Amino acid sequence: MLLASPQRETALVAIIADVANQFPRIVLYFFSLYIFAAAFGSLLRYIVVKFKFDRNAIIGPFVKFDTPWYYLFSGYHEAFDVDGVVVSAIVEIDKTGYIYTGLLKEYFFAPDGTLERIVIEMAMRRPLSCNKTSDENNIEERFERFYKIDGDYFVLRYCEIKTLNIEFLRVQDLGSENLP
Amino acid sequence: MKAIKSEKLLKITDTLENREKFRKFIAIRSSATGQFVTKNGTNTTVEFVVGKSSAAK
Repeated sequence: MLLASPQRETALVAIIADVANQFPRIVLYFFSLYIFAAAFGSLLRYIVVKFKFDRNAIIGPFVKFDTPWYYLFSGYHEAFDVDGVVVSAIVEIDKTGYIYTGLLKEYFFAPDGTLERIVIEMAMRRPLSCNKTSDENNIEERFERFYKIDGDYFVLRYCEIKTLNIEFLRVQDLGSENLP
Repeated sequence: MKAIKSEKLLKITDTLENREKFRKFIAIRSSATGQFVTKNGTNTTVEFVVGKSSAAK
């Protein structure tokens, strides 16, 4: 009705003036909206993770995050507490397969949510052909198959990985020894 | 995203000597090489647990 009114121009001027006067309040409104949305989303995520609602048979499908790699690397669905993750990745270099292995430190996603790269520490490498022999007691021989990669961290790009093996570690305290 | 690394594991991999031993443990997967002593003298053992997962690309 206002737009159809002959006095619309006068009314619009007044309205625009009011909006201009309330500009800080409007900015505050939108800003607080974004802050509240971010905080509420983070709170919900925290609640789901804390109380493991995504494991619930009934509500789990509705609140489960679309992050399969997170669930895989964290051992979320395993029946034990995970202390660390060891990964072994097969990478082809000059038509030769190598296994890179190490303790998983970090992993990164591409913008589309796919795994982009993983970072391992205490990295080692061995040719795929150097498998374990039948002599299970020869520890040194088994260790010599591996080439130690110097450096603090080793980055593997997911697009270069043929297969990825994931193993979980558990640490148990056995008590303190008497120190001199 | 940070991978899981518990405080207990952090204490083990805190020293250079233990890091070298840890490499050996990862390579050999033998319980004999999974014994560590932390900086404050605590004996610990690390093991690969059952319930392994593998994912083909």
